[in-house]
Order: sequence, then structure tokens, then C-alpha cells
Amino acid sequence: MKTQLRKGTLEMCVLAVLARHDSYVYEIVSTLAQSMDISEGTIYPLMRRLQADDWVSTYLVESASGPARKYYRLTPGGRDALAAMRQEWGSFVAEINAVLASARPQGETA
Amino acid sequence: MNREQYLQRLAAALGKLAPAERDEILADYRAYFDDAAADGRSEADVCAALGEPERLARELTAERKLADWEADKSPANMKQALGALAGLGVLNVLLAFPYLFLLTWLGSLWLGAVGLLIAGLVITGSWASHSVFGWPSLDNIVVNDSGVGPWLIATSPHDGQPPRLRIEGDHGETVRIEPDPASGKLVIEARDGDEHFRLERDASGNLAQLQIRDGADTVELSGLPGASSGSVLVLGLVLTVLGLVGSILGWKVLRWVWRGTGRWLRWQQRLVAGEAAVR
Repeated sequence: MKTQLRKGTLEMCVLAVLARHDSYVYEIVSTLAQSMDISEGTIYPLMRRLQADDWVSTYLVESASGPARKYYRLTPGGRDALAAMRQEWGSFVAEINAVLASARPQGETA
Repeated sequence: MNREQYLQRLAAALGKLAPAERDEILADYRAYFDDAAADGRSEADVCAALGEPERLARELTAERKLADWEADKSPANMKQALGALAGLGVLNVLLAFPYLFLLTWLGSLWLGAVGLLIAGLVITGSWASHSVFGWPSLDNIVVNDSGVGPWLIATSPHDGQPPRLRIEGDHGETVRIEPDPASGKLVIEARDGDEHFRLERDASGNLAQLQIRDGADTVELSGLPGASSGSVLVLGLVLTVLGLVGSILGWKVLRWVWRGTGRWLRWQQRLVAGEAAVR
């Protein structure tokens, strides 16, 4: 199947969250956790990979309490990657839905 | 496990990274714990959610080592990347052996081609030096272009005293190396039943006769020419061209395999990371 899609799913979701506004890791995890079951431990290595791929960049924001917080921002490259992933995902879902719809067993309703 | 224990275990497991990078990762995790605490979560809860610190460290280390390899494809970086990925459980050890065998085999082929190239350059260089300076002398080198035996036969200088040797077996096996003082010839002969090999060197040190007999089949070459400087040049150039082509091709294939390996490792790592991320 489309391995690229499978392993890219979480990356795509993180990029989509960052497309709305810049964010820090804990906020990204909380946002994602509202709608999907994710393993918190894997987000940070993923953020480093996205950074290595130049899809996100980081900057520090001073906070009133405690140390400065690291924010992640989508780069133009990251925006392009997200657009490509969205399109691929859309066509993938459409393909699967078409197959499921045509192969629906008798008696099952939509 | 509490926050400090988690961070300590993570720091210990990140030992293979540069201190600056390790400190950055630890600072990021400290911030994560802070954020979680502000969110009202217990340290134990966050530790459990983050998963084993050692597993996390292995993943971060593999990421760094692969990035290093991609930046600089040196054998040392390859070794580090392989080690890091083995820790991740990505590498199949059984698969590594045939791969190493292939790499060794390609490597020795390439070295062979480099050897040809060096031989060709040395011979061509000797020819050039001989043509310009008259040194080295080509008198004692015979280029055998008959298609039998080795191409290049270097004989010992004829001013030295030729060795004398005679070994005889019970069934007529003979090996003899004998100079003939009268004619100045040297005969090297090996005989075993019907098989017979005989080489004759004349007084000036050139090969005079080569005889190979196996039963009824005989190959006999008389009056083998001494090396003309032209034949040495041709041999040198042929070896140089063969060696050059072989070296370049071999190098390309080696580099292609080497880089392909890096890409495959990266692909494997991403696959594992992707599967771990999407439960």
C-alpha cells in the first residue's frame, strides 16, 4: 500500500496544526490528542525530523514565568509539503471509499 | 518514575550525542514537563505517556547518526549509523552478512583494478624513463605476447651467477635449473611423466626457447624476442587503460551501493518511526 502515506500521517497532522498558528510541542500534542490517539513520546523525535527536513523552524519566546519557550513555525517548504500530503491523502481516501462503496455486502446500509 | 529520574535516564541514554545537542533535548523535555504540570498532570502520568527514555534516546540517536551520514558519507559515520539503527531493532543481522560480503567483494574487485592501473603506470613510466634517460634497462624484461604463459617475464640480471638445482623423484619426476658453462645457456626444466615444461635462457639473458609438452601435445616457442621498447609501451598503456576503466567503474558501483545503503537505512528508520507514532 502507500507506505509513504501511512508513515506520513502523523507528520501531516503536525504540519496541519502548525499551519493554523505557530505552536510549542506540548500544545501540538494537546491539540492532536483532542481528535486522535497519539503516543506523546514520538512527537519530539518527529519534530526534530521535521526540523532536519527544513519543514519547520524554531524560535524562542521569553515567558514571564520560567525559561523561554521553543516555538515551531512552518517554513515555505513545510507548507508545500503539507499541500502535497493533503492532496495525496484526499485522493487516497477517495480511492478507498470508492472500493468500499462498490464492494458493500448485501443488507449493509450506507 | 518522577520527572528527575526520567530526565536522568534520558541524559544517560543520550551519551552518544554531542553535549550541546543532549542539553538541548533535555531542556526541551524539561519544558514539556513544565507545560504538563501547568496543565495539571502528574509527573508519573507524563513519564508513562512519554514512554521508555532509553527507547526515546535510541530513536533520537539514530536520527542524528543518519543525518551525520547524509552530511558526510564516511565509513566512520556509516559505522555509527549502523550501530544506532541496530539499537533501534531496524537491522536484520542475517541480512548484514551477505551485504558485507558483497561490499568486500566489490572492494577487492576495485582494488584489483587499481593494482592494474598502478602496474600500467609503472610500466609506462619505466618505458618513458628508458626512452629519455636510458634507465631502467629493458634487457632483462621479456614481453611474451604469444598467448602462452604470463605476459611479462622478468629475468634475473645475467651477470649474476645462475642458480643450480636438480631434484629427481622415484618415477622420473624432475625439476632442474642448470647453467651450461660452454654456451652460457640456462635451462629450467620440470618433468612429470608425460608432462614436460622447459625454458631456455640464452647467454645474453633473453628467453631463447619455451617448450611445453603434455603427452602428444607440444607447444614450442623458439627465439623469443627480448622486449622491444615498443611492446613495453603497448603493455603499459593497455594495463593503464584497463586499470583506469576498471577503477572508475568499480568506484562508481561502490559509491552507488554505499549511498544506496544509507538511503535504505533512512527509509527503514522512517518506517519504524512512522509505525511507532501511529498506534
